[in-house]
Amino acid sequence: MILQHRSHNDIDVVQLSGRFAMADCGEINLSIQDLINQGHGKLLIDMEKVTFIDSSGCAVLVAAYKSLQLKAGRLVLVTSPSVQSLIELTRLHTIFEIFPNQDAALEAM
Amino acid sequence: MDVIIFADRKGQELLPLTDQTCVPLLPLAGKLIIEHTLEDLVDAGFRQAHIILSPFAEQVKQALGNGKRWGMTLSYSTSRGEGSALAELRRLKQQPKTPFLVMRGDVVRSRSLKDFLLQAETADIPVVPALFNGANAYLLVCRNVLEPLLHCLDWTVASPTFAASHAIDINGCVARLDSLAAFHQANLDAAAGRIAGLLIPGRQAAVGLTLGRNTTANPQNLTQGIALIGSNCHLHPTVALSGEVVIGDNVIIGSQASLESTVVLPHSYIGELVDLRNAIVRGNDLIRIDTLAILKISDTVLLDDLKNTGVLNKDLEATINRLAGVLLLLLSLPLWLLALVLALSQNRGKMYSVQILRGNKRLMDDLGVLQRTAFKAGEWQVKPPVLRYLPRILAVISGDLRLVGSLPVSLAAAEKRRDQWEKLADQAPAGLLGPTQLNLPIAASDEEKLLSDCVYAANYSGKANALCLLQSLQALMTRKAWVG
Repeated sequence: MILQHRSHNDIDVVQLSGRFAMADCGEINLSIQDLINQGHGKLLIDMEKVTFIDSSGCAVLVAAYKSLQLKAGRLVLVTSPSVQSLIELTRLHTIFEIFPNQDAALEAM
Repeated sequence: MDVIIFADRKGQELLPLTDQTCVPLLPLAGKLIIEHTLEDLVDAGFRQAHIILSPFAEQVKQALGNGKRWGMTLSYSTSRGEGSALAELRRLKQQPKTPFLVMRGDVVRSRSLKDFLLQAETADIPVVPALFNGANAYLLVCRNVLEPLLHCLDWTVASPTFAASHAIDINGCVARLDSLAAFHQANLDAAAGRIAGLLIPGRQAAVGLTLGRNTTANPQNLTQGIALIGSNCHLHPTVALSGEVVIGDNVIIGSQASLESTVVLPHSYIGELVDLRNAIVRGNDLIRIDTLAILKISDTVLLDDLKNTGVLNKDLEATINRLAGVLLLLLSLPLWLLALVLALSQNRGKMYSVQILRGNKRLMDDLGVLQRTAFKAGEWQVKPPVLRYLPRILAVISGDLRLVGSLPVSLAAAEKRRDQWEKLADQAPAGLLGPTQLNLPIAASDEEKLLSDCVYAANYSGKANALCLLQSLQALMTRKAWVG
């Protein structure tokens, strides 16, 4: 799992690639929570290059969503087909704002 | 021309009918609500459509499949529900080619799509909304994806603003289905032919009486008015139907029951001598349209949900689980002694603790709603998980836990589950063993455990449980199971 971070105006953009599974989740969760604590309350997690996600990966997304809710912030996701499948299977699409690509997500934010 | 169908209503206004399904999948005159939209599209010559879904998206995909049944190709995407149509269209992976047709599939309209399209062709404006006798038909032809007028499709916009001169007003009617009374009335209207052009399933058995296949009913059941009865229903010859009555598939009605202006949803049982007027019946839910009272009938002699009566299978499954619990207890007897010795040596002060957890047994609460009950789950205060959770075998024997299931949680934790995705985990029974218990460390976050159970519940099957049992046997051979 590779995590890259950049800022676009006041939006934190986190780009994940590879497998987003239990083994890496602790570290990624800490990085994302740090970003939320230090950021402006706008977070874009781009998972277009994520090839596999499990329930632990989804738990990291839910934790980020809850933290941003406390800050009255906004979480936007960009998903790959495998990520989208698990999000729909677990009905998380009813809470997450999902865009097809990073440009569309940044434009909406 | 591309077709986009919005079927993303959250359905709060139709509760309790939408507590286990979504608006597009509610029955309207013998068919699913969204089926009427698909049939209208096919009639107008469309062979493909993209559907935007929100709650219970997986149920809609399962019900409609790839659309082959209608000779169509259907594709799907999901949203948070009831969002702005403009924003949702921008979010689509593949933008529709202009001009395109966009409509709601969670309302019902008379079959006037062809007429509308003919008139829309000649209109020289970027967006052509349809009005059916002056009412928003949630249907428009769009020549520009970024057109703000798309807001007339937004469910949350009460009365969209657009000049009547910029819309096409044709003869037809729209049922918004925005309340239980509106849903009830739309069903009666459809059965009575007041929503023109809908294809109503069944054969005409007598004047005003339409029956689905394999249905047993007599013409004398209809004393006056119109009745539409679905497939596989059984009506006792003494049942009296009057006014307008719509009965869904797989319904049984006992002798001398009387139904007037009533809608009965599929899989319902109505007992002997029951008298229903202006009502919606769904299983053992009785919704009175005149008073809007929603009653849960606990007496199964009066009303019952036939989906919950697979008693033989359920009892058999429960018995097998309990027998497996007894077998496991016998096999584990030497371990109990080991657990006692370890607990004595490690925690002389508190060798054993008890937690109150939510089990699988169900009891009716004061309001007649079946609720899962709590049970006392014991734990040896030792580190090895195999020994620690031995007392939970007793809960398998008592039927509070299944051998394989989701992680049992406290009643307080269960009550915190409010969102639809959180409640998904509750669909699986709680168990002694399961993917969450086997794969996640005890210290994993609550979200992680909940999501693991959501995935388990979404994929719940006998095969998955058998695999889990095999995994448990493998886990028994690991150091982690014995050291913790």
